[in-house]
Amino acid sequence: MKISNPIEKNKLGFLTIVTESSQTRLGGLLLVNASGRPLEFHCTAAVKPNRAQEILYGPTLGAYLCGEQIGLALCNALQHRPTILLTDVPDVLALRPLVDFPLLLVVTEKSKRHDFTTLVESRLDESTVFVEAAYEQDLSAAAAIFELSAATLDLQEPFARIDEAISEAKGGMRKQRVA
Amino acid sequence: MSGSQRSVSDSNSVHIGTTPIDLEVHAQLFSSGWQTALHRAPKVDVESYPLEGSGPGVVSFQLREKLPSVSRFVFAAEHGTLNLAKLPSGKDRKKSGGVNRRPGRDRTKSPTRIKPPAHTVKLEERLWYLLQPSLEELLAEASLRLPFDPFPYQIAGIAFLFPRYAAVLADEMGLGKTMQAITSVRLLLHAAQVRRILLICPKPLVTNWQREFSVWAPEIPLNVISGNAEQRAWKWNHPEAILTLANYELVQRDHRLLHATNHPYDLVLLDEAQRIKNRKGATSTAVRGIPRMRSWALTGTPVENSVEDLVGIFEFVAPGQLDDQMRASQMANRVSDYVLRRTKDQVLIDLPPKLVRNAVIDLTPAQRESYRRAEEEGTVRLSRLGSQASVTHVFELILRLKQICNFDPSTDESAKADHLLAKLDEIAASGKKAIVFSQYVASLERLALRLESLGSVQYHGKIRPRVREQVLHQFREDPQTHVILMSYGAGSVGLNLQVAEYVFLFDRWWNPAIEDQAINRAHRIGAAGPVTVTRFLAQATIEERIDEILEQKREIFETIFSSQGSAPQNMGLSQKEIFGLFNLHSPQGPISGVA
Repeated sequence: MKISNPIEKNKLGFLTIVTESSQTRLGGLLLVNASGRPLEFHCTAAVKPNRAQEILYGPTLGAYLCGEQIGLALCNALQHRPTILLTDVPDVLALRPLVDFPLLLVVTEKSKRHDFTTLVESRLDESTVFVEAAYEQDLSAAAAIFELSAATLDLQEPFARIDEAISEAKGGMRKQRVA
Repeated sequence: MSGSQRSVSDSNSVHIGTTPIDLEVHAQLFSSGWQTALHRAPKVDVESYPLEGSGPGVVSFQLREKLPSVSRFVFAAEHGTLNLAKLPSGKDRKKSGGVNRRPGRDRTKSPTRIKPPAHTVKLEERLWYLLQPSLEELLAEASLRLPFDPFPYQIAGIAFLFPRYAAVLADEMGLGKTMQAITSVRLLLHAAQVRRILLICPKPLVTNWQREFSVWAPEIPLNVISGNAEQRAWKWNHPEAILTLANYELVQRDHRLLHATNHPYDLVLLDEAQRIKNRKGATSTAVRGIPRMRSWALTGTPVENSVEDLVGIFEFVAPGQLDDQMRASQMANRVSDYVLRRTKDQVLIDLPPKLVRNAVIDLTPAQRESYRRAEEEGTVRLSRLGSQASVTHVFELILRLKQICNFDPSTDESAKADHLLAKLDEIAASGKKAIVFSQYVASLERLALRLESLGSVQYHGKIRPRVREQVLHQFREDPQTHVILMSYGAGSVGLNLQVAEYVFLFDRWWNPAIEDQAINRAHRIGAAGPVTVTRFLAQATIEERIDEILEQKREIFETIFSSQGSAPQNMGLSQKEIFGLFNLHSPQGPISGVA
């Protein structure tokens, strides 16, 4: 039989961060094809800032941990380069100078109370998205990508999948350690 | 130079005296070396005194730590095995009332997510299922669009089957198990999770499955096992076959060929899986021996007679998971992750109602006399046999009495037939259709003679399989054909006859599950209006006594699947019950599977 479902070129990355108690953060990155099916999933170990980092990074601690530490570690783990990366955590935008693909913030329940005044806003399908002002060109790149292939993909839904998978992975890895 | 002397007399006055001093100075020059010294740089000795203590200690903080460790999961790329060219065109889908456009997202409905079953251990596999998009999203893909929108419970059924290696879909008849199974198979094929599938069903349902596949998954080519031994062997070994469809009889006949294969099927799917309830039977042995990765069973009646039926099905689905000695609550606990069962009452709130009523019929005088005589003679004979009386003897008598309740053997009179004819006249006059079920082909043939004017067709064991499809087609499509006469054996499973709004049970089957299956030929998804079921019951006869036992049997399902209370160990008629129908005593011990 003929292979019917050629893998489309666009690969969309979804990166979210789960914050647990005491500022402990875990990151997850899901890479899907244009139909939303999973290609890769990566999650970090729990990251907890020390007291010195808390004091010295001050208000930039979140951006440092989420963008430069967790975000970068996750992107380094990818086997395939994403066409675009979407996040629902504003602090992850700090990752943008470190990667060479567009990075957009999707407004979800998790991020909707954030102050977006320094960011540039746009609409993508049914979602509101933001980028850092210095990377405004990411918006037009994203529009082109979504117009081509994944216009009907729900940009918010995959983050829920990552949350669930992080929780599963945590439990699974704990079981494996016990075994 | 005089010197001065000062003396103090008192505190208020001063008196100064003088003393002469020689002021002549005798000068003499000596070399002191000072002149040279004036030109010499002074010698400075420096003595240092530390003003501070030891320097302050410095603490350095490494702010840029190494990146956190990452767990990586990379999933195999999907390479489906299906040819999209065979998908129905958009025009076709429009005709069938389906969606021709990827539907927009409905955020008011919560999406159906695929959950990994509890027995899936491998973390990567569990994550693969968890990370799939919702089923609604998957089914909205162009290559997977369905001709009709599934009901939410059907989506839940697909989400149940899709991730499972061992599963029993035990929905009540008429809820669309076929569609749920086909769509799950289709999803697995598209996700490249399976490559070779074997579907086994009862012989009369092979054409039904072919028809359903053409509707729900036209892109899946079917390899239907048929023909002589040589032809079958070629088909069994067809290297390109994706979905092989076979009936139980042929699987049993060709089991050596099937068991010897080096390539296990990715999925073996059993329809009407109660066919393998008897673990010692040849069918069960043949099916269980097929090498396979996934085992799915479809059945509306996972427990027909006793809990042993379910144990038999599980010997195929998940061997060793159940055993006969388990308590009902234990069994319910063990099967909970493997079995999904929904009833129409639970999920089809919009399905037209099913009205069931008993028509209690008085036998005609001739029938009554024949019945009385036969019962008397029979019981006397059984009494005379005493301890030699066997269940077979009792069954012979029951058979004879039931047949008399249908038709008087000497006069051919039938109170039931008269009543039925009157009803069917009315139904035909209003342009409606009805199904009449009987246990006996002879009764159906007699009825057919009386129903000639109404336009009736017959569907039972005497009708050749190749003609059966035509019979069904005529009943469905011909407005002049109002009645189909069916035997429970041939017509109670797998057929879709929603065109009928009336169902008559001319006589009663031993098992309520079989009766329900029969009724659900008409009362299922797609039923246009309420379905009226009439169960004939000859007053003051063996039929009334059997009815009481049937009612008790109906409680079995409730017990085993509600996990409340404890199920009786055997739900077939016990020897005591069978003899009790005639107020006779019986030898000790149950008779399993008599019903």
